Amino acid sequence: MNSDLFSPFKIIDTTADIGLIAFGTSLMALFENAGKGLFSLIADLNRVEPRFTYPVHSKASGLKVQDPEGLLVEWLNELIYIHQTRNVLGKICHLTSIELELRGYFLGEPIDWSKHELKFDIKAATFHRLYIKKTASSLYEGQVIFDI
Amino acid sequence: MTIQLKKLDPYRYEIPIGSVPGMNVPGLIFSDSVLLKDIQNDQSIEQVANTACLPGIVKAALAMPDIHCGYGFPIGGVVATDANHGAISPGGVGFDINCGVRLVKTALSKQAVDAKMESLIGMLSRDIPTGTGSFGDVSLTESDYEKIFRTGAGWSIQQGFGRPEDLDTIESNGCLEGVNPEKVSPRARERGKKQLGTLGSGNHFIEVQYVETLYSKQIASVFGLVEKQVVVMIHSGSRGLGHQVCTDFLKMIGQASKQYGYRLPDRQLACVPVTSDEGKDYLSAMNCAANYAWANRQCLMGRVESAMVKALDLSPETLGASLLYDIAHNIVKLETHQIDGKPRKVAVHRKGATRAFPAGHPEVPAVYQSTGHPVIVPGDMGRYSYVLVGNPSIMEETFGSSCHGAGRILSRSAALRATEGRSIISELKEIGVTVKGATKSGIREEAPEAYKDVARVVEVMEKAGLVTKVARLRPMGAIKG
Repeated sequence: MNSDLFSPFKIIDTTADIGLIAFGTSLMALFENAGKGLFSLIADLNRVEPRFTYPVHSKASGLKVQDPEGLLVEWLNELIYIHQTRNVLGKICHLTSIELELRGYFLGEPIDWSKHELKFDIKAATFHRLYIKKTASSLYEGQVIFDI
Repeated sequence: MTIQLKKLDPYRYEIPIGSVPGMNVPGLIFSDSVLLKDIQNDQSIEQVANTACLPGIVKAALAMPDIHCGYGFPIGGVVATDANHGAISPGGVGFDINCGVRLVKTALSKQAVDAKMESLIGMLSRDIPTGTGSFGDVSLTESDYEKIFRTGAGWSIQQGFGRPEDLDTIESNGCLEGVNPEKVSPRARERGKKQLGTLGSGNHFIEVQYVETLYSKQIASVFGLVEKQVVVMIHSGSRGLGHQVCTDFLKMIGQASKQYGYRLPDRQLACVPVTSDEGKDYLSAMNCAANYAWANRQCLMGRVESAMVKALDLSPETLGASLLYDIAHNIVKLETHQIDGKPRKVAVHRKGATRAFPAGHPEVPAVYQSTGHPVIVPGDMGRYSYVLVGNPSIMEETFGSSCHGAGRILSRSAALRATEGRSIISELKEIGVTVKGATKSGIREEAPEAYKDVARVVEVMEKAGLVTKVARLRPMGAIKG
């Protein structure tokens, strides 16, 4: 569960692109908030309704438990892939498993040009300046830079 | 991290070996003291030093004066690794494989087009899908993909976009060999399926320009450039297909690099031996994506020409469109260069840098053998762009590579903040530039002040003895992604 006591994510600047730092009380909560942050970069979330469920599934690579950062990139790239190929926007992300496989879903709706104004055309999550760490307040904190 | 640079001369700054742990060669930044201040404002110097850690890198990790912070590799970076003993890195090419520019000449003068710019830019924006989520009217089949991957720009010519002779003035004739379509994933194909002939977003554009200044009348004459001539610059790449190829291989090579004992300071620099199965697979998939990008720019050029014919109400013959040149900005190529006085095959990674092969080089098209091929350097919407040629010394110093643009100085968010409440479209209109964009925020992100002054970037290249200026082009109007 996410706490109301901290921001789920914040957007950060890079010279040519854009990134975010997400927080969570657990690794899964961090991933969910990073997903929400990603979708907030793509469109104004206030105008996106969680009308449909879009499943997310990526098979295990064996590295995931030892490589949470790599898993975060994979999760975000899965969301980007679904957004780009199905022309849908997300609003709320849920993860059900990050152990042997990456499983979850997001709630959102198809892009409606009369309602949604898209912001950044996010094309990929990168490994650049990627980290996940535990903060002094025992939160998980993760940073990722996106290619736009 | 602050890295102490060693000034070699007014236009060359060295990053000494040891500035970051693991450097195999020094770094070399082409810059002047003014541009260096911008360069020192982001992480790009550290990124150049990091690329010097790549296994098998030869001579130096290079950075052009338009360098700015990228992911892993800086944008504006050039790295050559030994093709037999060195590494290949998808991060050294970037996500938008074969993002590049082409310059289309016309037989029209500025005076003939000036009064019709609104109608022309309107037609271009109607006929050419731009921006986020834009799709073309073509949905590629597997059979189409097979042909595009194997023939590049030639496929688009067969579909009726442009002319067969266009292939003579495209880098690598618009088609790289050594492709293996099986290495392009179904996901990459899905992402690119409806995007051929679309411009894309971000910094991609189609800009109508005129030739304002000729610096070398002799070379301009070979290029067919005259003062006041209207030209069109097209900047686009491999769209979602190329991005997915990069994403796929970054993941795979990131895991594979460990088995080769490679340890690098940034995961985005993940690499494998050029000669490894993974390296060969990446190269063959990247070549497919590069060919898709050339097919895309060829298709865009055809659409531009059709839009001009309609908007200006003239015949294709009167328009007189022909392709000056097309160059890649994000690519890795196996090339032979003189290293320590001996020819050596190297994998030249150019990420935000372009080829600039001089007169007499065997890969320069026949028509440009006496001059070197055109080097097209876009600036920004409000100022100017350049056409250059490489000097002979460029082969020795930079593996025949030049700057590729102005380089950003403001982040996209900073550009939005700096232009809050302003209409960039109106500001550009006041200086005679008609602009349409997919979104207002997209145009603000690409405001002229977000970029370095490309004149200064080009001046550094020129004063370093690497290039010769041929022409300066002024914008008349543009559509932005």
